[in-house]
Amino acid sequence: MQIQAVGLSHHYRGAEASALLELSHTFEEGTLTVVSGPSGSGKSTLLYLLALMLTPSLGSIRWGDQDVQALEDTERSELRAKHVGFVFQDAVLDLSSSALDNVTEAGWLAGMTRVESETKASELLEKFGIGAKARFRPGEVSGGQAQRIALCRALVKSPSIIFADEPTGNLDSDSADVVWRALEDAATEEGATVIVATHDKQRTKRMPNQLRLVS
Amino acid sequence: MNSGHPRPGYFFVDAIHRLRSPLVPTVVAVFVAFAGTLSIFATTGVAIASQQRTIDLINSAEGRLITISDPQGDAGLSERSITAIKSISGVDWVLGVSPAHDFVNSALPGGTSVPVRNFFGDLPAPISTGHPGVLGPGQALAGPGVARKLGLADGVGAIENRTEKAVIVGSFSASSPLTSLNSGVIMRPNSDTGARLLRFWVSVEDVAQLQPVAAAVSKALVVEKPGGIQIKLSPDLARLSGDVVTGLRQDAALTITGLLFAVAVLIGALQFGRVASTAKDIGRRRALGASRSVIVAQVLINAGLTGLIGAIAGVLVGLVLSVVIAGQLPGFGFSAAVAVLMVLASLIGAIAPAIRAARLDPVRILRVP
Ligand SMILES: Nc1ncnc2c1ncn2[C@@H]1O[C@H](COP(=O)(O)OP(=O)(O)OP(=O)(O)O)[C@@H](O)[C@H]1O
Ligand SMILES: [Mg+2]
Repeated sequence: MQIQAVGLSHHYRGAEASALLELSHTFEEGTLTVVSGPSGSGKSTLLYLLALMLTPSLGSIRWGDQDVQALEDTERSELRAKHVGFVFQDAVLDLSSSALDNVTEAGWLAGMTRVESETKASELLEKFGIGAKARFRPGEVSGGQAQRIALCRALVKSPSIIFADEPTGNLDSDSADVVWRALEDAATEEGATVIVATHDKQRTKRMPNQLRLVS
Repeated sequence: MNSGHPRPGYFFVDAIHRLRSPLVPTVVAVFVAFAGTLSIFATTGVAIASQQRTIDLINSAEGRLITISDPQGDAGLSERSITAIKSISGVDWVLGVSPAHDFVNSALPGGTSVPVRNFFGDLPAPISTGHPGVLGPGQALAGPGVARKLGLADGVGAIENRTEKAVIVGSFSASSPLTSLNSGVIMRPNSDTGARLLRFWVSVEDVAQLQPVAAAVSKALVVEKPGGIQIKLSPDLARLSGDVVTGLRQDAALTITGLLFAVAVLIGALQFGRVASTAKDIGRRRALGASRSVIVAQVLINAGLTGLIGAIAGVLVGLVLSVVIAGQLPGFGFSAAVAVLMVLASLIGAIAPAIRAARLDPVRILRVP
């Protein structure tokens, strides 16, 4: 699904400056776009806006041919549950649930059955080398493994839109390669619209689709 | 293609999981509902049970009795009154007795004398006798131990006084409200001597009918000097029984309302704390696509479940308590109503925290590592 931002500005209540100013960009279906920029330049803010978790102060957002930023919260939640996979800047896992249950939760909320959700979750954990950790809780795995659990959770519902906010922050370069490849595959093979925010200059250079934010 | 709406199974699995973690608010919430339910039982349930016994007592034989007497003995109260009274609707039984006269064992002229009363009407339920069939004229029954007092070894035999003779053919035992007869002998009169009645007792079927039946009885009396007759009933009993019930309802309603309110407030405070301590989970679910109504539902399900568990435990212990303290079980309706109200109180208390939870901003929550 194509995502289009037109004249997007966001000003947090109480903040002195705008976190994002008049940004216009089109994120194409089946491509991975890297959003880069210094800390505080508004990368996370942009992702939250596009994922319908924030409402822009100005401008509009289109998902495909739907104008989404004016929708009611219920519809925005439903769209997010249906279409969006999100890898948050911090893993944001449920500390009281196993890796498998953490991944499954996103499937449940999207409306998948328990069996569908658990089957897909196990496959993904296996694929990213943490199948053996499926029964472990986030407090019992390494930071990099937690990050991969978060990646699996974003992929479990086979989303058509994927946001990843610093998804490789905690990973060594081999593990980071696996994650980047998975995100690129989601774009090229599944046709998802993938938007990744990162500071990683090395990797940013190699990517064809880029959006640079300046503070 | 996913629907974007979680299936019911999710709510179930999640609700069970969230009872265990965090565990402390669950334990406290269950305890609050349990203590609330138990308090209702300990106060109202036990009161209802014991006051039910009071009502039963009021409605007992003593409470349903009208006593018609002729204290001076000169009013000329005729036994023909009995037939008239028997036909009044609401009358359970009528028994008339004459003044007592002393009789002795015919075989022992100098022996101990006992009081003998003529009775009129059929022997009512409170008088039980081993003697089969109806007593004929001059036949009599002795109260418990009375035959031995007269020196009648077999419990039967002739008795007499200066003017009359009678034959004791068996014994009787009278229960409330006729126990005063137990100390003597009751006999069927020898002949229609135009006997004057000293008093008779009318028992009504229901305490509520006491007043109207008493009015009908006083009209039906066959008497020479109506002014000499005294009619005693327990006019206050019917009213008292009504008062007890109304008073009880008001007291109970007040106690229950107070307790439910307290439970709702405590559960509310508890759920606010639980929402604050699980904000991270709520924000995560919202970010993953849970709508506000899903969050509200999850908080309410948690409150309802803890309320239900506490209420069921409270009812079970409360029932045992009622039996131990009041010796009586409150009805099923009462127990079920208490449990339902307790769940409702928990739900109502959780409404504000649930709305608060639904309004949490997921972005702010996600930004805090
Ligand atoms: N709730 C808020 N209220 C006020 N200002 C905020 C709030 N949240 C974020 N900001 C500010 O908005 C700006 C953009 O933040 P954002 O998190 O989008 O940056 P970022 O590019 O993702 O940075 P980083 O690379 O460090 O993650 C920052 O200056 C931040 O301080
Ligand atoms: Mg950021």
